[in-house]
Amino acid sequence: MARIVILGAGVSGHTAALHLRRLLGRKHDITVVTPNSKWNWIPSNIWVGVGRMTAKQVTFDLPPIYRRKGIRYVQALGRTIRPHGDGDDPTPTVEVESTAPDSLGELSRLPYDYLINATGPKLRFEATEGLGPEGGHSVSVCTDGHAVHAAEALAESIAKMQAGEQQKLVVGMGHGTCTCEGAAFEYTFNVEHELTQAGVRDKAELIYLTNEVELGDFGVDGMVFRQKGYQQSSRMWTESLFTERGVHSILGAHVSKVDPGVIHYETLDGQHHTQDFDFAMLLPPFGGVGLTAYDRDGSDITDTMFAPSGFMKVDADYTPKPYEEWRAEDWPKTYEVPGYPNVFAVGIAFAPPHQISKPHVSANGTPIAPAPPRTGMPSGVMGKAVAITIADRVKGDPQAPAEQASMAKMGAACVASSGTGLLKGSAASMTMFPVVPNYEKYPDSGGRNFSGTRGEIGLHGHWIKLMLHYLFIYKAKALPGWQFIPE
Amino acid sequence: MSEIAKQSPVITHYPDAPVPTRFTRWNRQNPVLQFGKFVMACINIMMMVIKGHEK
Repeated sequence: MARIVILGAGVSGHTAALHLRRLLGRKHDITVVTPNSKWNWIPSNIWVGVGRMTAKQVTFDLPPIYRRKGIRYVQALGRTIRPHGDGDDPTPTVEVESTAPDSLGELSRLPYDYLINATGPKLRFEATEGLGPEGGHSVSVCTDGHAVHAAEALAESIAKMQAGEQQKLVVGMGHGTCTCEGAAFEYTFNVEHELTQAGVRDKAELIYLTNEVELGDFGVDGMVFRQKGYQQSSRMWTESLFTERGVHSILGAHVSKVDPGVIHYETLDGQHHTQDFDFAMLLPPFGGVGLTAYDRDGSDITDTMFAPSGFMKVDADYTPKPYEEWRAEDWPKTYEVPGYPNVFAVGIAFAPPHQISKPHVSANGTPIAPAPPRTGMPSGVMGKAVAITIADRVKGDPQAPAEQASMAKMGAACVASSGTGLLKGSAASMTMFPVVPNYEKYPDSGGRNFSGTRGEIGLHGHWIKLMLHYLFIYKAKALPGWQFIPE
Repeated sequence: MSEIAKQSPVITHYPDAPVPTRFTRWNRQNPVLQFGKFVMACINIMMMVIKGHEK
């Protein structure tokens, strides 16, 4: 009997757990360690954040799903990995700290034959003074709870506008190294849509504040499309939408501090600015969750297994090199941790070899560069690939070659909502192939294949996003036929 | 304070960006036309999923 421990139950961890149970049957032990008892379909949090969905509509309880599937559920945080065991016992273990109310803070060790690190991000609000809803002065939509709070703050702001007050609303990135620009873009236009629906659009100045150097970058170096015989770019597309909807923007910005009603930020030219606000939704930068690793003799091997950012090193090329020398081949394929073939890291938990967008530094030396997104569709594909690798090794040859799922060789669909409503909603639906551009293979089309890279905005995009909401929650609940819904 | 520091970094519009015509905006919200685009977009996404991974 093999023991497989999965740290994290987000898109990649939960996908890996369900596929492992499907591929291995019930004679092997699968354990999921996650601090939260609820699963959250995060892409729909933006609708919770404007009051169009409830937290209940984007979450469900995990324990009943795992009970039904025969997966052991441990409500805890992963703390320390001992890949070679401890002292006299060579059994690999991971130490976890309980977050369950009845055993809060208790430490225990889980032995494993295979370990998947799918811990997702630590929301690093502390990276910017005054950022975030807990002790800070801005709101967030990163969790369902944050999104509910954001919706309340937005409703207050709209009520003031309805009473005749002018309001300034700022949506965007709370640090120069944030990722998930797409989520901030979506929230911006959902807020704009709500203001219009409430009849107060003329009372609001809405500003999108981002670390992107140009609109439409989305942390993936933008996209080039072929439409109606012309090459078009996501930049042109996005600038058009901002102009059409009257949304203002601040580009290439690093937020250094948030005071009550005032955002302090630096731009690429090194200038420092302030932006006053009545409502601000600013996303935090992500970091690793702070796992540590120890060798059997007690020596600290955290630096061997993890990058300084706290994300886990996998089979990527981490050699530091200038932007001009970055290659698609630098990106990991199997997500195996070097030297530890039974340990994998997927989704946000793996350390990317470098950004996808060209990095910039301000005149003062402050890095201002979107971190590469590793969420959504690619996350699920990685989780499934690692599940197949482990299942192959458990059932047959322990040295079986790993299933590959490089972000430089996979496509992704991205649907960015720009307002909700079955007949009044809209969204930009985009596909890109591959996610990480390959400028050697596709030199004239922005590093991507034109036939797989498309985009269009309209009501149909909203329907697609709504369909994906219901499909993926159905899949995550492991209801009949879940496995036929692709990642 | 220098002249540069006085300039607001807030961009209020993009003069070179094409703005959709009324017809394009109507097209984007027309349920019948959009249903066709919905079907095409679903096929596009499914094709990418089926083709999957570039080996």
